[in-house]
Amino acid sequence: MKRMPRKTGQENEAMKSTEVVVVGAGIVGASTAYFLAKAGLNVALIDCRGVTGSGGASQACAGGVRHQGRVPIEMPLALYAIPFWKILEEELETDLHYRREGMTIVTDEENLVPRIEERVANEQLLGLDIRMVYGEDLRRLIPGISPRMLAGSYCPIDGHADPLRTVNALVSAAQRRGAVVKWCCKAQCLVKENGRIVAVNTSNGKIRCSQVVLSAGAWSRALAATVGVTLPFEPFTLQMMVTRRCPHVLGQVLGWLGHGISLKQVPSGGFVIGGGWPGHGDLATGKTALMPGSMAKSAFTTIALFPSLSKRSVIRAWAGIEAFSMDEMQVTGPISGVDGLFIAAGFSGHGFAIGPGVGSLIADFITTGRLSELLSPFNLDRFGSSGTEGKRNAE
Amino acid sequence: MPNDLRIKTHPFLKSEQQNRRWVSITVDGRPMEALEGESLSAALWAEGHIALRYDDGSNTFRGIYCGIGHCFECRVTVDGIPDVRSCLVQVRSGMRVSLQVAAETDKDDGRI
Amino acid sequence: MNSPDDLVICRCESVTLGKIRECLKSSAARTVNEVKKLTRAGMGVCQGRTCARTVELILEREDGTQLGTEPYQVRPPIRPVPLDDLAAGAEDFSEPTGPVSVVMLRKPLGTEGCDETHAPKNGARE
Repeated sequence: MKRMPRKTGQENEAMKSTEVVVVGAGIVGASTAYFLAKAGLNVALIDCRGVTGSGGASQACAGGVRHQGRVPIEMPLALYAIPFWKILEEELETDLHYRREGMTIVTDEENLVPRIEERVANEQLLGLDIRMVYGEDLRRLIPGISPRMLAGSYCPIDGHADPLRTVNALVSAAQRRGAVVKWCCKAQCLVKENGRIVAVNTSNGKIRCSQVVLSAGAWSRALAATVGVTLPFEPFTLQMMVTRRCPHVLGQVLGWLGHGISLKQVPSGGFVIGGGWPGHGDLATGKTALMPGSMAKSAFTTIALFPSLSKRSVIRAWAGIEAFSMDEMQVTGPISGVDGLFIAAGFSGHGFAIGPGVGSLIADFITTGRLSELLSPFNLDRFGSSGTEGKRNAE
Repeated sequence: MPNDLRIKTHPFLKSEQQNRRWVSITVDGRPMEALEGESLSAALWAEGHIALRYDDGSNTFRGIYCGIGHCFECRVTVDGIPDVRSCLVQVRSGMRVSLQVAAETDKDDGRI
Repeated sequence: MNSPDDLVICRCESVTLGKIRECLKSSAARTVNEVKKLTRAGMGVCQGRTCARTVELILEREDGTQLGTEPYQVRPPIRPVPLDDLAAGAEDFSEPTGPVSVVMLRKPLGTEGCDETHAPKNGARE
């Protein structure tokens, strides 16, 4: 009965200091830790949960990797970040089940067609490869879609990937590059002296550092408050469902304007059903519980969109807590008055696709001191003192 | 049918067995005889359909494992409904069963 | 335990003993739920009914993890439910009214949200 040696320097290694502490091992934190380690910095990635985390947004992620339907001001970032997925599998030496077979957002309401057309026109101007598809062409493009759908916005370079595999792969790759990953290590407060970060107090002791990347999703708000920074986030628990494996009939990701659904069929055959339906969550413990009404309504919407799924069985539902900001856009950027602190949270349900790219840009900033223009629209300053400036999502 | 491994006499199930009648069902389009009311997986096994499906992940054929509706290994399509646990389904006359095994074997009736 | 590494432990996802052993060797996974996340053992159609106990026994014998350290996390539905059965009761539910969207619901954040300069008593709400 040989006991396997424990890895990743957990209990027995008292980590006293490092250059950068990344708080939160979700898609953003894991990506950032990977690119920082790749750049040769000493980085510690800490997460209050056990290995692979639980209860956060990356856990309850639909896995969509899409350019369309994002806030217009985010398009340049998306056009930069999403191509990372093309090389990510090779870079991380892991199959992430990434597929790029397109996404179409449809409507069955005549009066909503112009709204999609307008968005498509705007997105084309921003440089996106996207076009409208109508009627019979739509049905040919997506066999199995409900015949009541009239039109849709089709972006052939949108796709999807497996969030669990991706986060696991990023964490493993970060470790291979020298990052220290500490699970069950809860950041309790950030420590600043003379206006700069000097340490993070954790459940495993104090870690001295000169930089902190706060990528702890819904848990970022409380941590930021410990150094006087207010993040206008509210936690929402989002539910997901997955069916058992089915023969492959759907290659695209489907969305339905005005209805809560994101439908895709993953390479292993199951249909992953998202759509932003709420569940119950407790921020303090990270525990989630399901809302049956969300399962029912999500199932109803799924069948209405793709009728042939009516007899397919849901085998599992789950939920995770996400941080939604006041204008449903992320906060990324350094904080004036707290040197060394970089916030990367509040992605409001759309951080997965751009996570790796954002992680790379954060690593660039930390290594060069120059913040990419792609991140500047998302600075915390935009909330000002009245906190009323906001931008609606495209749909 | 002789040597079909069905339990013909049983201290408790005697009366049930005696009252069962032979009915015809189809399996992958081919007619098959079975006892009305018996478990579909037992009927399939008696006729040599031990492999009920093909698993891509392990490249193996799968059939009954637990036999009590717990493991889902014995799932087949019945009357158009997929993923039905054959160990829990009782044979009814005219039932249409698909196994999706035939394509993976070189026997044209799918038997192993 | 001298079982060969290609023994299938999770039948639904075809996860072998070798894969589980590799997971224990190369990661920080120590509980049945963590092993599930890294190997997919327990993620298939029977949702761990067949293999969860076996994985726990493997953890005990190969790693010294005591049985019952962490209960196997079961997620609803407790058995597969066809989408149309789930959908049948959709109208009867008064909550939720729709998907989450802060902006679309025009839900204002709490007034203490933007003015705080010190840590709130119990972290964020919910």
